[in-house]
Amino acid sequence: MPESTTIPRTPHALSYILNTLSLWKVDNKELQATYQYTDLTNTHSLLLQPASLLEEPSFLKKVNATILKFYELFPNEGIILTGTNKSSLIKNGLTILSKEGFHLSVEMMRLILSGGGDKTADIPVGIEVIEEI
Amino acid sequence: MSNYQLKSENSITAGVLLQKEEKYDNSVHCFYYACIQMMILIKETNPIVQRNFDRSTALGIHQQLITSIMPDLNARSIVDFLQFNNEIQLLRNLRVIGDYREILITANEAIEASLLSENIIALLRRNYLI
Repeated sequence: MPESTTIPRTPHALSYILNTLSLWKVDNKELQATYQYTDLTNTHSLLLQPASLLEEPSFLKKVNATILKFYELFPNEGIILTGTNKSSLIKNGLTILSKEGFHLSVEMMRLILSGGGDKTADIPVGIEVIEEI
Repeated sequence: MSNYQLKSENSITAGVLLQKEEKYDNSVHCFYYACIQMMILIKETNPIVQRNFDRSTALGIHQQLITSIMPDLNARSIVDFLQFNNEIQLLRNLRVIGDYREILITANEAIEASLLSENIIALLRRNYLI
């Protein structure tokens, strides 16, 4: 199994993803994204829920736009893998944290706040800092 | 038929043969390169993808190819875009493991790679009328 860690090589890239996703809310339905980084293949993995939102073209377009923007801004900072159920992502060697919403390890948050992240973008409201299991 | 397409089809054939011989790591390599060869054909025949490729600052021709096709593919189909992004990355991950890591590819992973390459190539053919 690939080694899994939540410490990204680029906190800047991470803060970009989370800030973008945190803005998505349509008809009081909010897209929840759980983030995981796997350094074996430099994969940023996003568990997107509820899955039904991705059937709405407006949401799908935003997901796609975020992925495209990420590759444009960070062409050498890995790949984004998306999924709407945990089993499919876990099958690909990723350990997904079980709680809903955004999750960051303490170390990852320190990396962002220490200046490695995007200083122009605030940390999204509602991010829960948890100790890595 | 383009020679890139011929190379892609031959890569699939080689991958299937290696799979039958239980050379799973090597079969994944072939399935992945079948997709890369199809992407090169698209780059060579599509001016928008070619322009994206020329402007790309990505390191490595594979990353350049993938990220050059994606904006154009998104304009053609937002559903296929997301499928392509996920499946090429999954196949790429398997290929990295198969070619460069100490871990061995399993029979099931080789089957998965085969299905992924089949999906990716069908998707590209459908969108680019190859």
